Amino acid sequence: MSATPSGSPSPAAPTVPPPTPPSSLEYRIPSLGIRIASGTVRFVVLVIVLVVIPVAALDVLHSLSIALPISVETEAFYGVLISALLAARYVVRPTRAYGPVTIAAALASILFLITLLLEPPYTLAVPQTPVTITIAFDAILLLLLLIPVLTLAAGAVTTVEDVRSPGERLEFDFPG
Amino acid sequence: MLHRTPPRLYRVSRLLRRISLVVLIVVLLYLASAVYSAVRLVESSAPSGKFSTAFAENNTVVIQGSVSISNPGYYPVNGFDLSLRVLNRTGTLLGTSSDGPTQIAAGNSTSFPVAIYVPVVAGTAAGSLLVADQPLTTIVWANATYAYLIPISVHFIENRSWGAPFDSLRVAPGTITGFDGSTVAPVSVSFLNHAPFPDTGTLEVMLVTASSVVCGSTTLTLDVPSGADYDQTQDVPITSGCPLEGGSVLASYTSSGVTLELPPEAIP
Repeated sequence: MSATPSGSPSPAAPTVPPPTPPSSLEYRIPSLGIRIASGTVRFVVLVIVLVVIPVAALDVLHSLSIALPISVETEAFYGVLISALLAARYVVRPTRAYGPVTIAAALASILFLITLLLEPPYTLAVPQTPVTITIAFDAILLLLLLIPVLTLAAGAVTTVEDVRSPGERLEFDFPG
Repeated sequence: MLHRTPPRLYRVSRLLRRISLVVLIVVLLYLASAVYSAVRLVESSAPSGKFSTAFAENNTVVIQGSVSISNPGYYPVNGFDLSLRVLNRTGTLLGTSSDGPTQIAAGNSTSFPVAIYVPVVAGTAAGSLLVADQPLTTIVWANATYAYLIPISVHFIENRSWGAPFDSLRVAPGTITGFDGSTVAPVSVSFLNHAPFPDTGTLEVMLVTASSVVCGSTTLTLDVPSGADYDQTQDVPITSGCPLEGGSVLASYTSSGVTLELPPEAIP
């Protein structure tokens, strides 16, 4: 309790009401059209990174008569699949499908990495030399597996959150 | 402006996403630096390929040299071991060499001595190395773990031609003649020195009977440069009445305190 210099008690201070929480509708979700356009751009970028560049690198190896660590078809299939799921995840982010699509993208990535893990160690016969080099990437692939596993967990948590409290995350995902 | 604290599940999900992003960045940085370091290592460690051959003790020929590895990159090479095998044209193992495992720290260079002792005892698979040029196969393995996580194995096979120090050696006694109460046999010695080193030393030639009794011997002084041929005939005093028919000619080469038995030749 505060006091005036004279010692007399001060008049009661007016009660300040606690701040009201912002409305749960204080967010701005991009329209479906914008999301589809952005998702398409993301898809194109992802296809370049995950498909075009790796396939071009594999083609260069093939032209140099170097054995490929993975077939072009496998790389292209998983590359397109993962790119499509990641782009779709962006488009459906405001919806309840976001969690499941995240899980699907993570599962596709896990499947791709497991496919690589099951391959024997990569053996490279250096052209025009008698040298053969064998490299095992298992430890790196296991390290890379951490990323989709964590993403899968995040997707699962988001799915649960969307089931328990639909729309709860929108004001944080799409702040107004 | 006041913000509401994000709900617990949202924070958990966001944290997981952020950790996965950090892992991705760390892995990409690791891979980029590992590839960069590996390229520098390969560029800095051109194979020396300087191997020499010499006679050694205990009837052996030693093939020796060294392999230098320079690691200027950011990561160590752990558990590096190097193994070599030498096979003759029939695939028989002549000699081996192995070194390691050794760690080559980042920024360091290491040289691995290689010494393959090939026993050239007459009558063994490698005995012909002294008297016959032939192709040899060298098989090399190197194993290591690079940048803590990447096991690498390098393997190559190299075919080299071996130049024998006494190629086409021929030690043949001629017709025994007697004069002044003694008996001598002219012994012709010829060979080509195709080895990369000179034959400098002595060649002792013994004529023995089928029951290994020495009938006579002589010692020739050799100084045959690499690539030169040798052809000389010398009279060898023979013990009177010593039957050389069905016997053999034994030759041994001595150089710098090392003695090598050359393959025997039968006397018709």
